Amino acid sequence: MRPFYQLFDHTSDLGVQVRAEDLKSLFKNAALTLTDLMTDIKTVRNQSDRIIEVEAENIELLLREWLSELLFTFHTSGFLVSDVDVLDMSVRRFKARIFGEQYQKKRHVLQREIKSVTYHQLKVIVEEHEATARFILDI
Amino acid sequence: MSNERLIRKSAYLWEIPKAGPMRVPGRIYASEALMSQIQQDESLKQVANVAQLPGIIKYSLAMPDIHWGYGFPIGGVAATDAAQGVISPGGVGYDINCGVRLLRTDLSAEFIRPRIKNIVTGLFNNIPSGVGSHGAIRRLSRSDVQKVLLKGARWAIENGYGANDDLRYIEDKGCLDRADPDVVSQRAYQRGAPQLGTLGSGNHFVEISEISDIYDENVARQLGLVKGNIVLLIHTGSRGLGYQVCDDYIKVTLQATAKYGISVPDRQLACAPLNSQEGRDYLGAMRAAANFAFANRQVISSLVESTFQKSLNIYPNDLGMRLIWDIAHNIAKIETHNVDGKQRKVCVHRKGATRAFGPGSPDLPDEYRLIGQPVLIPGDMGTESYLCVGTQKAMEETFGSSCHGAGRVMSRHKAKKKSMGRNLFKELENAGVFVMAEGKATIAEEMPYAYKNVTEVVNTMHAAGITKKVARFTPMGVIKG
Repeated sequence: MRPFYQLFDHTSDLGVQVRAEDLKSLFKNAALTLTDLMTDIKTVRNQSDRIIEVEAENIELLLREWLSELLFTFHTSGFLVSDVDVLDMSVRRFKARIFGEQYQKKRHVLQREIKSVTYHQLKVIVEEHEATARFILDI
Repeated sequence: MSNERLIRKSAYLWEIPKAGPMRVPGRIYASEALMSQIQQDESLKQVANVAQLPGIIKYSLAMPDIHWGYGFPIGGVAATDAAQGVISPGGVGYDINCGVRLLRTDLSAEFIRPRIKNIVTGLFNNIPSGVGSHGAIRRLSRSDVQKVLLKGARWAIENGYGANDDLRYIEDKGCLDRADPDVVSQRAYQRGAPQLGTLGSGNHFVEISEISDIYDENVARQLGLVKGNIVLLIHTGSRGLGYQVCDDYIKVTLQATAKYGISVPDRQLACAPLNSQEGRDYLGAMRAAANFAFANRQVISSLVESTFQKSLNIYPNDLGMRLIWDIAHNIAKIETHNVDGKQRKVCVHRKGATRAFGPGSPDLPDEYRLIGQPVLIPGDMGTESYLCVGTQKAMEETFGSSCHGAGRVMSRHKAKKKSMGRNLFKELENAGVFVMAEGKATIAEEMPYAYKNVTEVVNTMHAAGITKKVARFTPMGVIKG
């Protein structure tokens, strides 16, 4: 699971760089990264699904909104994401079906709590064969 | 690596001269050794960025535990004019009213040492981290949460967690006035409802420590601290409710920043005029979240007390547990300060900084008015913590503020790498600290080598005359979320 994301140094929190071949997979990989930073994603089973839809003014804010929505889902219902199916995407709107399961203390080893996805140095870069996102998570 | 121009003003004070869009100079309290660490990351640039906020008064200040945050540096203090200035949610942070409380006891370290594993296990079982699970108390209804947001620590006491007298020893008596639960989003309510009485993860903890040194006998005596006895430190904040309020209002203030034509060098410094609807709404929501945090620490305090009673099978009177002080170190407050000889109403943002009011402040209870406000400075989990008191000089130079901890020096990523293949729990136990943690990455990320030397941080503020050292605490047992 590791290859598509790397951590970069930020003194107080967690700097994350995610890579994918295009924007859609970038959003998917960013979601899986979030899960993997909370618990080992290999232990998260595909047991139920739900639909998430977010809107924002530009692609960077859209990515932040998407990840914030996943954090909110985890913090309010304990839902951990194991897979993502992108249903619809434009620069300002993103809709996906997320698959996963409920956090269980016995099954999932919790690594850390993520408080929020910050705006600080938030970046999305799209090139011909690669899309990259950089963001800092408040821990 | 920082490129900011620095002028040394004195042994412990440095200045970034006003340049470009900066409205005021930056001022950093640090020893030479700490300054060389500070220059390794982007925190000085952030001090200069904060100096660009409209209405900022005197200086963009930083304490010696300053490190690279998001928007504001962690360890930053900025006062803005209450009438003409702005308020920035990033200047408070996600964990609104993250803070520390200190409890004294009549128990000796000698008595506790052989029982430490039993007590720490009890604390670990009774105080949930609240991450992905529920709290130690029942899930609150919306109207319950509303009451918590209005009443703060008093709600906890009315519901059986602690005694009325505790309120005297909490900053603002455990409740910020003019909190507005109606401007707190439904999402924040949803995140807060199951989390009252939970610790959280990251650097939050409950710690049992021995009073290992006393530097000011007179103050220590007045506070009821005896060398060789144990104290408890609780470090947590407003949990998901506060995180959500911050997130919601960064969005609101991003729009306000554009609407009012304010230019900021970092999106995370988004702000709104204090006298705008957006500014007033954030202030009301932030105060409500701060009250949730006061209630949270009050509930946890009470869980700590009952765990001690059960684990040791002793009566409350033999325990002698009493709250010494409870401080907020992520907050914005409307306060009146003397600015160039005139009393001015200002909004003091303390992002990873502690209020440190000096003797004589009417905001302190009678018994503390002569000694100054207790300032609690926890170190990392393997080393010591300090109790200091605020001074008159803090009132004159830092809007009554001081440092809040050791301050990170190493990223979580590097700290984790450094811990590979090591049994950190065993290492800490060999050093005399028994640790239990819920988050498995937390321990590696919070190891002592990830932090600056807290003694150097505290000594800097002592030598600068901002806070005076009273006592040092050495950890024996810690639970982390």
